[in-house]
Amino acid sequence: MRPTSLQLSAYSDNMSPKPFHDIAESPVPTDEGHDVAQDPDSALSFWRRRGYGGTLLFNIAAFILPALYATLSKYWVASFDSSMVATTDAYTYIGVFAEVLNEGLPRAAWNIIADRSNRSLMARHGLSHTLVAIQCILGLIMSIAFVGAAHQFANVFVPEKVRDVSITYIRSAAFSALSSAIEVAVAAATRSLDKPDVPLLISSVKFAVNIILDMMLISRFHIPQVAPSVNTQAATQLACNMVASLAGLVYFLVITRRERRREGTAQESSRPSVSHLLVLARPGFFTFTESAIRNALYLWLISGVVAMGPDYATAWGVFSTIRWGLIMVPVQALEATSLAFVGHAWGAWRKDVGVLVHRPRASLRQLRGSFPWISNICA
Amino acid sequence: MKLTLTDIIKPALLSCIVALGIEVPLCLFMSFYGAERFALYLSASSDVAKITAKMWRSIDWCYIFYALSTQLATILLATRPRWYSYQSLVSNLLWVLPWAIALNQVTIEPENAWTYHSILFGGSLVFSFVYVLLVELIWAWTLLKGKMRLPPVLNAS
Repeated sequence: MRPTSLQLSAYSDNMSPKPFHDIAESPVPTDEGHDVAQDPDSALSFWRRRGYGGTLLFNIAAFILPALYATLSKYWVASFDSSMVATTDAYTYIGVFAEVLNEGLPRAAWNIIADRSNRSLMARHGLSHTLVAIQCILGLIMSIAFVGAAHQFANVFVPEKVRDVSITYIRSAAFSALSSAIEVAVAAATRSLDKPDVPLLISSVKFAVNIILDMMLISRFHIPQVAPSVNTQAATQLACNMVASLAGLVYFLVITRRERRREGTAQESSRPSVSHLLVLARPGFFTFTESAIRNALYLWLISGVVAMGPDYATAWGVFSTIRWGLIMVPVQALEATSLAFVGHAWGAWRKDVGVLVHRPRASLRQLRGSFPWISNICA
Repeated sequence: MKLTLTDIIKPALLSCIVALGIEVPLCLFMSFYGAERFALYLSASSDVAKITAKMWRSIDWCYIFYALSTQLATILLATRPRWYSYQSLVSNLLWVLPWAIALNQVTIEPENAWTYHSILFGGSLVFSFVYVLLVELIWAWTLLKGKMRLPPVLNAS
C-alpha cells in the first residue's frame, strides 16, 4: 500500500531558475527516439537534460528539496505542543484526498504527452495546457469543499483531545489541495515534455520562500510581533505552496510559448480544448478510479490506527514521515524518470510497428543494427 | 532501426538496478542505527521513538519491494494505463480489503495492534511486487505473441 501524501503531493516537486537555453531544442518534434539512438555520442546524450541520466539528476534535485526542508525545518521551527503533531497529520490526510485528484488525469500524461513520436509539439503543448487547466479547476473545487467540511473532517481523522484547535489548521491546509493540483499537473506535463527543470524551479522557489518565511514568522528567533503557532505554520505553508506552484505555472507557460514562437506555428492548436481533454480522459478515468479505491482503503485503515491512541498514531505518523521523506527521494526520482522514458519508447515503438495496427507484435531482439546498450534509453 | 520489447522496458530496468543499490544500504543503516534517533528527533518523545523503531525493524525491508514494484509498474502506467489500474486494483482487493475487513471483526488492542498492522502494511508491499511482476510477464507475453489489442493513438498528428 502506498501511504503517500503530504510528503508526496503537498510538498512534492521543486527547483531553481534555469535560463532559457532549453528552448533551443527540438525543432523537429517527431521521431526523436530514433534520431538519438543513432547519435554516435550517445554516452554524452545520456547525461544531457533530455537523456535518462540528466533527467534523473534534475528529478533527484526536485524531490530532495522538499524532503530536506521537512527534515531540517525541525531545527528552527519553534516547538509547539507535541500533541499537535496529530493535528499536523490532518494535513497528511487532506493530502490523501488531493492525491486522488493528482493521480487521475496527470498520470495519463506519461502515456499521452510523453508520446513524442506520434504527436506534434503543438498537440503535446495543447494536451499539457488542457491538463493543467482542468486540474486547477478541480483543485479549487476540492479546496472549497474542505473549508466547508472542516468539522466533519476533524471528527474522523484527529484525536478528540486536540480536535477543536485543529479546525483553523485544517481550513488553512485545505488550500494545499489547489496548490498541489497545479504543481502536480505542471510537473507531470513538463516531465513528459522533457523539461524536468520546471518541477525543479517549483521545488526551489518553495524551498527558498519556506526558509525565508519560517525565519520571519515561526523560527525560534522570529519577528517579535507575531506569536508563532501551528496555525501560523499552516498559513506559511499555504503561502509557500501557492507562490511556488504559480511560479512553476508561469515558467511553464513562458517556455512553451517561446518554443512555439521559434517554430512559428499558430497558437490555436496549443490551447486547452475539449478534444484534448477527451484524449486524456480515457486513460485518466482508469488511473483516477484506481487511486480513489486505493486511497479509500488506506483512509479506512488509518482511522483504525488513530483509534489505537496518540502514541501509536504519532509513531505511525513519524514512521511515515521518515519513510516517505528523504529515504524515498531516489525511488520517486527514478520512477518519474522511468515513466517519461518508457512513455517515449512506447510511442516510438508504436510508430515503428504502425499506429493503425490493432494487434502489433513486438520482437525481443533487433534484427539488424547493433547499438550500445545505453543508446536506446538516452533520449 | 527496428525497436524491440527490450527497448521499451530498459528505462524501468535501469531504475530498478539503481533503486536496489540505494535502498538496500539505506534500509540496513536505518534499521540498525538511524530509525530510533531520527524518530526521537522528529517526535521529541522516547516512547514514540521506541514504537517507531520497532515498526521500522519489522517492516522497513518491505519497502525495498515497494521501490522495485514502483519502477516495474512504470512500464504498465506509461504503456497501458488500463492494465496498470487493473493490476493495482486487483492487488488491493486481494490483500488490503480482506485484511481491512478482518481487522474490523476482531477487537485489537494497542498492545497487539502492530502485529496485525505490520502484516497488513508490509505484506501489501511484498504482495503487490509479486503481482506486478506476474502482470508484467503477461504483458510481455501478449505483446510478443501479438495478442494484445492496442487502442488507437487518438488525435495523433
